[in-house]
Amino acid sequence: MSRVTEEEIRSLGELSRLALSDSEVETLKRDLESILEHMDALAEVDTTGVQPMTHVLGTIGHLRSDEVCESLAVEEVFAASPERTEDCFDVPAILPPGSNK
Amino acid sequence: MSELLSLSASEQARRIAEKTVSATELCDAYLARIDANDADLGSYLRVDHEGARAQAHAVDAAVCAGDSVGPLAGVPIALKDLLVTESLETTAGSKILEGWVPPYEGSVVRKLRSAGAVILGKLNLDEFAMGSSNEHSAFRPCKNPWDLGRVPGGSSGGSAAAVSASLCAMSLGTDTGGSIRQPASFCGLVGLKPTYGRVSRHGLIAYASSFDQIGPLATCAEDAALMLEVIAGGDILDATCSTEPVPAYQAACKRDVKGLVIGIAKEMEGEDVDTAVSAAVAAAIAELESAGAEVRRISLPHTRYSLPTYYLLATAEASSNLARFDGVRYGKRKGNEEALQNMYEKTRGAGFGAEVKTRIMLGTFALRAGYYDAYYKKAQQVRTLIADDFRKAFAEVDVIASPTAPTTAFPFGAKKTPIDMYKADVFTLSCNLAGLPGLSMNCGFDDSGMPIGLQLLAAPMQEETLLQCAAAYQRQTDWHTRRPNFGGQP
Repeated sequence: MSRVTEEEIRSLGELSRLALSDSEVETLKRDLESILEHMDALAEVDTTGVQPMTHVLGTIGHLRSDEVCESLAVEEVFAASPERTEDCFDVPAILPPGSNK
Repeated sequence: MSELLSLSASEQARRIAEKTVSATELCDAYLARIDANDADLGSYLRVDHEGARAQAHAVDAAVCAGDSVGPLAGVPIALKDLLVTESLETTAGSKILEGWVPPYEGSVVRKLRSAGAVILGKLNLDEFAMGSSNEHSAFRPCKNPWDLGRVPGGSSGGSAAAVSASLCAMSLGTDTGGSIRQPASFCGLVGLKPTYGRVSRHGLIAYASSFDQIGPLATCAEDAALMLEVIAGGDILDATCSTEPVPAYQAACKRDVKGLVIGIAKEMEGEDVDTAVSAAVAAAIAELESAGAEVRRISLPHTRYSLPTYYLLATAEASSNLARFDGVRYGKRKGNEEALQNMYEKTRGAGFGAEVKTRIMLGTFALRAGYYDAYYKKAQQVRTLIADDFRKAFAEVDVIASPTAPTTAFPFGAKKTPIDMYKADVFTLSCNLAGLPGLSMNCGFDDSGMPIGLQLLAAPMQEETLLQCAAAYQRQTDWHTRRPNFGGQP
């Protein structure tokens, strides 16, 4: 029985922000199905009353004082950006062209 | 090959400090060997000739002037290309970051530079550290110097191959589920994955943040100790990094193992382990026993669930961590003429390789409403049980010994499905699930002449015990002194 449908793969692709070709969808469907079969083993573990792990060594994060310190040089940061307008990262419109009427 | 390149990193550091060898001479010897041989191996993604020579000159100038120099002064090392280096391209082995020149230095890299290390370049890896063979590098596969038809292991395959082939004195790798120890095993090295939080993760491109650790790959325990002393310790830029004092790891290498208790877990043996691997591991444990250690049988009942637990949790974290690669602030962009969401999808669809996509999809699945309790939460509960197993075991024993991997290095293309590949990590995963320190070292060779790895695990922050065992073993045996017949030997 197949438990990962093609539709589900396409929906996961959208949630993951991944454009997938038809052949990728097919491969991912096959691979995820076989991987998830191995994940089923967890169902046999009795976890009644077991706390889910939140930190592996039970320590809490160290906080630092809220002090102004040197930050990255603006020009060096923008040097890596694909598109910029002055000191802003430039992105395409949220709505596709022509859909905002 | 220059005789200098067969010295341990610790010995190289001593000679440079004593002025019997210059850092420049040593650096040039490594660069020449890389230029002559790495095209066949593929261990480097980038060699920084100019930067390395400048660092070596600076060390020589300081030594000549009689200034005090750091513990790694003049030692040529190289870094897995998952570690952020200021002004030196960093790709994570992925097309999506190709050409990215970081505007900042990772904390560990900064520590290495102030300790005087000479950084030769950036090493090959599976894309975003996702893989066990280096076959998932987006640029080219790295090969195993013991047999160029076989994989070096992964994901720190370049880090292992380069040290093994004497193309750097030591390297740094990262270990999320075995990515330092398994390649160390496949290439015949010492590989040390520190306790979670022992080494700062600032400037380590995140795969799974609750698992990732940076650690050394070296030819002997003393070198790994030298490197760990430099990179361990608190860091204000990583809130999960422990501020506990850093012990004298090199001093730990001088201790013997009398009275030390070694645990052998029945869950870490089994029919899937090659007979040559089982035999070599048993012989190594017997060797430690003859040096005064005591052996005790133990059980870690929940570690048999390590594989599903790890792959659900690590991929869930990856699906979140890799969301930052969206073509906005850095990296390549595709589909700029379309609407924002299409741009994201096209950028990521074109920029990520198949294995990365598989893991992002699996992680998204595990976190998805309706599946969260059955997969993600369940796996976090089992992770608690696995950590509890180790806590109980370490009340009785000092270290736990096992094979690092069920097999020696396999040929390219041997693992046909993701699950087959994931099984290469079956003995290394539980260490990361429980946040423990783990070490792999060479304990012999199989009939094909491929190295076999012994894995030792210890309780949190007990790296000293691992190094103590490894050094004691290496005083009694000479497996770690053997080098592959690659690129001409001294």
